[in-house]
Amino acid sequence: MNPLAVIGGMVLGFLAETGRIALFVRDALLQGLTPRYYVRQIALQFFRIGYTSLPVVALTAFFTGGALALQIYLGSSRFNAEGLVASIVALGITRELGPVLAGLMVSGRVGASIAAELGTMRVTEQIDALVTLSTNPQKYLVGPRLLAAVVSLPLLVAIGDTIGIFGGYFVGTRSLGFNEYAYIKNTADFLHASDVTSGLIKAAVFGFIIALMGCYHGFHSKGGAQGVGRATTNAVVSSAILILAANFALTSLLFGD
Amino acid sequence: MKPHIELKSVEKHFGPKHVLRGLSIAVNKGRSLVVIGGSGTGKSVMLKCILGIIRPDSGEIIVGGESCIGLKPRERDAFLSRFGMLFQGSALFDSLSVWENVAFGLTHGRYM
Repeated sequence: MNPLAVIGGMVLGFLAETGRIALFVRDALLQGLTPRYYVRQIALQFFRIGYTSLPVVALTAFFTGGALALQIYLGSSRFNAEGLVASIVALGITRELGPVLAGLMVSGRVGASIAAELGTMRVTEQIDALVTLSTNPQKYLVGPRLLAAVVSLPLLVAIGDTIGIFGGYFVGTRSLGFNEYAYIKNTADFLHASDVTSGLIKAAVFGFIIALMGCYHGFHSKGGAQGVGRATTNAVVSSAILILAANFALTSLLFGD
Repeated sequence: MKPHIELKSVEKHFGPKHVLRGLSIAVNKGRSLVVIGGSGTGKSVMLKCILGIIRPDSGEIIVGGESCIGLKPRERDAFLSRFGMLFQGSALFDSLSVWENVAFGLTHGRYM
């Protein structure tokens, strides 16, 4: 087989997939932003995507904050800069680790669930049945999930940031011998509002990516149970890669010179 | 008498698979039509083309004297309100209760 033909085929396939995703986004936004709004579906998705993801995001944030405090303490003690632990934990959690880890955890939990649910609906013709009942599937299935994910992720990250900083505080004061008041003062003094808001902006973008990839792969799944499994894997892998790529792009955009 | 449902030279491909090749049928009002064929020969595709779930590559589909390809959303809702379709695998909404399945058209779709 001609290797150039293989590369060309891959490039064309990638471009075609990108185009399909762009059209899916256009339809989802057009349908999601115009009436009618399925309030019950929206509320249900807020519960599923936001509320039920809270424990996993909280645990991840707590342990990450604690581990970060330990690592920074060990590193900074080499040049007598232990006093920086509180501020670097706060910056690291709010700017990077909070949104990225929450995004990755939610993509594994929620992205897979959305792809499996919509994929099953596709292969059992439930999505076709919606059309015959004059219900737009984009409006009924995709819109509520996108809205819930875009709004829920920043809320989850805000809670995760708080718990992550507390994880650092817990390890710092209980294990590393920091004074409680000094730790909180250092955190508050060095943390700016822009550190938190940049993380929340990232979280909203990650929420959009997670719901979009879950819906897109679920919506286009085919081939029975095997196809649903493939859609679920593709949703998680693609959203994880896109989250990391978007994180780099947003960091350059928000903090670049 | 003009046919109530009419398909003229309808074509549909899925990649290299040519499912409908110049399909033309006419069904008069009040008549029943049975379509029989092996798996993958295009029976469901034909029905889905008529309902607008799948867009045919070419050809014409006329229902009640009006073409039903490329309808706008509101026109499609009005068009679909005249149809009912039972899918092969039932296509029941398994996340909803029996009552919600039965009432779906009323609570979510065309009437509210």
